[in-house]
Amino acid sequence: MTGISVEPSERGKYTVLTVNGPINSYTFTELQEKTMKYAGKVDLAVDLSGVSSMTSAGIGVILAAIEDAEAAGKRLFVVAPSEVSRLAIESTGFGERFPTVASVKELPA
Amino acid sequence: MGLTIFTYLSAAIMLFVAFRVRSTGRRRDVTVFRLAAIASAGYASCLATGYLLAADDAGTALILLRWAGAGAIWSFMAFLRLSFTFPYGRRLVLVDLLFLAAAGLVAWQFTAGDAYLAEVRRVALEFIRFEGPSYSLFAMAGALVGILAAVILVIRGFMIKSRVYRQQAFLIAAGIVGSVAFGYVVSIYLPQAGQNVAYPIGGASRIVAILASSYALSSTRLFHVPTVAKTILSRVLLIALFGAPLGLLVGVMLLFRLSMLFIVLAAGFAGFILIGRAADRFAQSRFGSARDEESREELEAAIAHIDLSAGRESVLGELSGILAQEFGAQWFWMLSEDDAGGLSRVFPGNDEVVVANADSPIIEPLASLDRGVVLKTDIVADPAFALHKTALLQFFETLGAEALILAKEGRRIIGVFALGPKRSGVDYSVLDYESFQAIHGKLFVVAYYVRHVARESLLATVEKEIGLADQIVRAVQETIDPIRHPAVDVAFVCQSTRQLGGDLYDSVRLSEHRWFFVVGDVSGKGLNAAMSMVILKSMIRTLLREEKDFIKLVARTNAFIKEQLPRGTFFAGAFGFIALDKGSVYFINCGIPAVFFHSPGLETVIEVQGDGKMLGFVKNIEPYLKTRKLALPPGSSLVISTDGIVESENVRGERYGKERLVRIIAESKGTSAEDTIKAILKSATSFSDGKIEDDVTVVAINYHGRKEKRA
Repeated sequence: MTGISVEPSERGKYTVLTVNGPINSYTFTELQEKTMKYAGKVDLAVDLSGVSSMTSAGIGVILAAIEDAEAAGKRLFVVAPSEVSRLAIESTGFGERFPTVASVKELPA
Repeated sequence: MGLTIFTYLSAAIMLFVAFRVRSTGRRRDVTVFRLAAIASAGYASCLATGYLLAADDAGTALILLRWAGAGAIWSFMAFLRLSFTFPYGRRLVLVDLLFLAAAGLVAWQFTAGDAYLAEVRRVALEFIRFEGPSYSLFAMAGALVGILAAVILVIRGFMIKSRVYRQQAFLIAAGIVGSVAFGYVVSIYLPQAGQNVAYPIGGASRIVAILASSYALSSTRLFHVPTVAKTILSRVLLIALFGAPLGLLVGVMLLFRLSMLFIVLAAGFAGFILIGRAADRFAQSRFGSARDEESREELEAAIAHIDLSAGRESVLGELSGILAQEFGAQWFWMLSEDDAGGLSRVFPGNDEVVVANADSPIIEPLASLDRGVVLKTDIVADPAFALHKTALLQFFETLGAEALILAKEGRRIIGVFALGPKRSGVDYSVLDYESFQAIHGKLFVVAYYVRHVARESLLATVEKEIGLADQIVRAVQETIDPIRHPAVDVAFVCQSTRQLGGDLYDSVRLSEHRWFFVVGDVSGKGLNAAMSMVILKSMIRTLLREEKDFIKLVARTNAFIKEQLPRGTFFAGAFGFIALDKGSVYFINCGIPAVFFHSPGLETVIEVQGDGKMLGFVKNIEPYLKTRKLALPPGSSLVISTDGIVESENVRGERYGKERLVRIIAESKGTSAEDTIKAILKSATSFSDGKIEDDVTVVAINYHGRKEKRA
């Protein structure tokens, strides 16, 4: 089973989590642990450009992180979602609930 | 003219409120109150019309004003009769006959001669009233009847044990005193001060008593005095801040000689709407209940943050602390449904103590309640509880409780939260009731947790007994009213990647030919998703019982997911009603990716789910919801699938996709629903090399039509 990697890095005020690989029911816990660690505590960006597939498990993790951030008054952006992750987000019918930027350079200061 | 309109308006309002009061359970009190309101409205109408005709038809005006006087006395006589037996409204035949005779005597004395009123005229804007020799005596007697009624109500109020009835008695008494004072000012004081133009408004004086009584007879909970004070203060300020500009507007119109009645009324109405909206916004922002709401949100958040994995004792101990701090209750109990169907106390204490057996006379009254929060005062004073009043009061007495919060799954009571009297000795008020309502959903989750999960520590369940948890969840998943009907063949599968999952299928029989169904997937994996699924399933069943509007049912389910389930939880699926007598399916797509329809008249399988929004993303989803209707011709079939099938992938990263699913459905034409499901699962499993990586829920419905009935 192909796994995912979730690598944290710093960019300005943001902690950027770069995700590579498929997010599904076998792999989502890795992403969940990292987002739970940062969401709501710092301004967070989740780079989904390297995501090869995303099921509802991944959507749930990102939604929970967004809600944690909102509750704590912190920011969370989805960065450059790959085609499959963009489709997964849009399939919810609420794409606007996922603040998205095209690249880490576009993260607001 | 303006004052006369006000009096007519007050008559209409008095009649309106009189008939809005529910008479269930207190028929006599409400009947007597309605008589008072009818007499008061008659008094107002006769008085206003009488003064209106005074200039042109003095004879008719005199007759009407005499009857108005009689009506004024009758209304207070009705209040006096109410006071005699308040709040239990007993029948007293002799007393009622005496009242009837007295009413006749009053009518005769007021209308048969000049004793009360000899003549009335209008000269320019002045009303000139020639009072009869007994006018003062009659007016005094009328006021005394009202004051006597108020005094008796106050005395009875002090004697009544029920605090809510006491509150009602005092409120009605205050209303009567207000009416007497109002009447004195406009009918005696102002005319003596040379303002006899105010005569017509005297007919509106009873509105104070009628409004107070209507409110009192409808109130079943104790007022929260600071809230009432704040409301009154805010209203006074609103009138001062916003009523003044409206008055100025009308004044300016009159100044510019726009005195035509229609124009004044239209402008006044428009001003009322515009300024009323501004006033409402201002009130909401400045002295509204924002602080109360904030406090409720904090309370909700505190309950939501209770760590359910800490075990039952700890969860209920923490909840007890939160409720004690917020409401100041002397004690807190939790009763949970036991395996025998009764109610056992699970907190405080480690041992479960049976409080009510399954056949206890309290179970049925609790099951039949259509509300989740009940105060003891509700049972005493609210006619809605009349049927089970004795049993419910006895239950409150047995527990010693003052407030109960019920968690129900359909008619089953899965948990009861009981709160004792407040430490301060103050009673639970309307404000407390609203707070209880606000946290009801959160308490439901706790009750469900205690009933279904917490008999063992959650952590222990996960680590050691996942098989048992799986069995529990499977049992809940399989508890459905299967769609069994000669016109249809239905099959479904819920399959998780792990032992536990959030896949959900449920159907509930609504009538002989109609079923409700829901298909979908609760986000998350493992035990968390499974817990969310079983809680959601229960909540949907509960809402189905309460909510008749399909869209509102889904909207309330969405609100429950958003506000009560853990963050990040959402639901992708479809809600539907199937009417087998009509051959129709109504459904709302809430993010279901695949609903395929195969009609015998069509060669192809068509996709019919349309666009949909998943539940749990926004607070109010109602504007996004659309109901779709699908006519099912005999021989047609419907397949509903969550994303697990279409998004399953093979080792090369290719998706199974909708095209493959369509092909399998088309190939399954003529087979049973069960075989269609098997074929879909076999195809998807084979495609993904034996391992589908997501939860799968698929439902197949083959509609045969109603040929059997005609045969």
